[in-house]
Amino acid sequence: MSDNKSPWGSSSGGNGSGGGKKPWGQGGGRPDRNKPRAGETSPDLDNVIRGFKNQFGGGGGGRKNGGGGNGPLAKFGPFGIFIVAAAIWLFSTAIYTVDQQEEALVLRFGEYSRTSPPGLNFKMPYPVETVIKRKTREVKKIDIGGTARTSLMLTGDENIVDINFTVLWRINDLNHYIFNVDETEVAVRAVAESAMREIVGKSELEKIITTDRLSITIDVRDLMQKTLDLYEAGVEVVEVQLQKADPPEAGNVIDAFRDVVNAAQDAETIVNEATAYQNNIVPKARGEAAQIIQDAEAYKGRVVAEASGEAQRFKLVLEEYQAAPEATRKRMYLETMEKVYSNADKIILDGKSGSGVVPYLPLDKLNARPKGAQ
Amino acid sequence: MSNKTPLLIFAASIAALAAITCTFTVKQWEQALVLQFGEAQRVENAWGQEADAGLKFKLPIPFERVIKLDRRNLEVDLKPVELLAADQERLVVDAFVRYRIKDGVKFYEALQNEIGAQQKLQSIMDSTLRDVLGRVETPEIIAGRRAELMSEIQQVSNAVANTQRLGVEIIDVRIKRADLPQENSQRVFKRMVTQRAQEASRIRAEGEERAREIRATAEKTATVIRAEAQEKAEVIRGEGDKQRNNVYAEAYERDLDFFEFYRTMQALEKGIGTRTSYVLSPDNEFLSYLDNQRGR
Repeated sequence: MSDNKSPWGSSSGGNGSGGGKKPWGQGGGRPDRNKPRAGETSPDLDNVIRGFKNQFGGGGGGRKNGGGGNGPLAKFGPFGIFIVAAAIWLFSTAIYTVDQQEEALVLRFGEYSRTSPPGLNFKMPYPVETVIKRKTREVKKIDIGGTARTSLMLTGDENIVDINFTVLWRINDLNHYIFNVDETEVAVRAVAESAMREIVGKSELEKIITTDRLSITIDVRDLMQKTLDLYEAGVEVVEVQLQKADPPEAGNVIDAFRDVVNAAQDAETIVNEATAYQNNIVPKARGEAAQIIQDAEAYKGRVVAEASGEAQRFKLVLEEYQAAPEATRKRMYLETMEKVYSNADKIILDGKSGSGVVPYLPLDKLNARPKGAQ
Repeated sequence: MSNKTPLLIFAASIAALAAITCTFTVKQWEQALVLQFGEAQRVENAWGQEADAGLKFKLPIPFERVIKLDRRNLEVDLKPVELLAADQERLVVDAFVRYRIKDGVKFYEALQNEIGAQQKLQSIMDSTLRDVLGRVETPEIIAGRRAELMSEIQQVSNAVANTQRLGVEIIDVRIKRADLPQENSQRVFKRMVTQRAQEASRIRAEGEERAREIRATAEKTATVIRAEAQEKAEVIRGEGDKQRNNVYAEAYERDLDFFEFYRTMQALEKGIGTRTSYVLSPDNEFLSYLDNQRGR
């Protein structure tokens, strides 16, 4: 085995450049393998390279013998180094790993060849076969509606609503996803906006902000899926979530909406006050009514009792009178008069005598006298 | 031995050169247009035919060269178009188009590349949108026939593309946004505010009315309760009076004459008080013993 087997030969000055594959540049043919900055290597790497050089016959391509190294590949010279380097590199492109979450498509000269399972896999080296990997298990998220332009939407009843929503989606067919649609993520976002506005455009504001929130997200999801399936995009829309569905903040609209709620509360409050008033005066009236009747009953009772008493007294006196009428009568008369006259002023005038006397009654003086005087 | 080497080198390099200039790869999502002396010859992995990507062969430059086209569903995001609907309402419509290169030859001739396609489609869609939407009223665009209209736009623009031999198929047109221009939005806001304000007043007024009713009814009930009680009370008092009169009558009628005397005596005792001054005649019966111990 002589070095001259190498097509390039050491005597050619070891330019080592050819075929357009890897420009090695002039001089020395010192292979600076896979390093972007020639001549700047770390000390360890230097040693490795020196080791290689010793193995493969040294860096001086200009030497006639192609290097006096003892390595098995020494005869190949600098070109050998290149070949080996290329071989190693090519070999590295023949191995690839696929994550548990990923799927990998293998293309042979650009044509779809097969899909690889998770784990360590082998393929033909570049450029024969290439790999495209995507995380297909992962659920991706798109948020739509941070700005006035994207969040204000026209509703079916010609109102405007402010909506922020989120779309959760994932790749469910990697072939379709890669091969059928250009910039699929952009497509999903555009379809999302369009679908939401279509559904909102069919709904009424009142329902959107209150009862129909869930059904809207379902309708949007379905519409999006239908459209993306039409494109054969290989995308599954997992869920649509409404983050916000409110009357717009602009122009005091949302304040006006809040006022309606306040109005309901105010109305309830004054009705409650009226009911409280009702619950107050009706029982009070009943109380008064009972009182009135009670008073009447008391009156009745009293009056009847008084009458009974007096009647009874009269009856007793009558009995007494009937037993001795004249005596009783006289006695009663005298007793009464005694009482009557005892407390009063009296003047006894004899009408018959003293006709010459002019009766003069100082009535004012009499009336001014205190009680009990005689 | 050395003589063969240069030959080998030469052969190898020729082979390599041939490999490079006479082959090309068509990726799964690409179509490749092969031009022979600048004239369109064939399309590899063309849309509409069975997928056939991979390694392909051609004559070297300058005989044949390859233009790569996309085989996928492509997007043109249109600039917003302000148009007038049938009810004279202004709308700003922001739509997007999804299209596909279905005939690479025609496409290259008419549009060259995707940039050209974008411009062309923008102008086609501009006029199609105005055409189709200008014939309907705003509510239909926003709600009623939105899906139908989008479908119509897609069909019309697709027909135009065919007529102009653009080599593209318009797959879908979707309206992302159909909104009112800024000033009109303000108008809508005002209207919404007014509507809500009316609603609020109505609710408050209803509440007040109901409250009034409750109060009025309550007062009426209270009054009725009291009046009924009053009525009953009068009856009871009347009964009392009647009973009293009966009792008196029953007693006094036993001897009316005596009753008169008895009652007068009582009245005198009570009725004539301490302030009264009497002028008595000596003939007064009470004084009958005053003159004479035997009385008069």
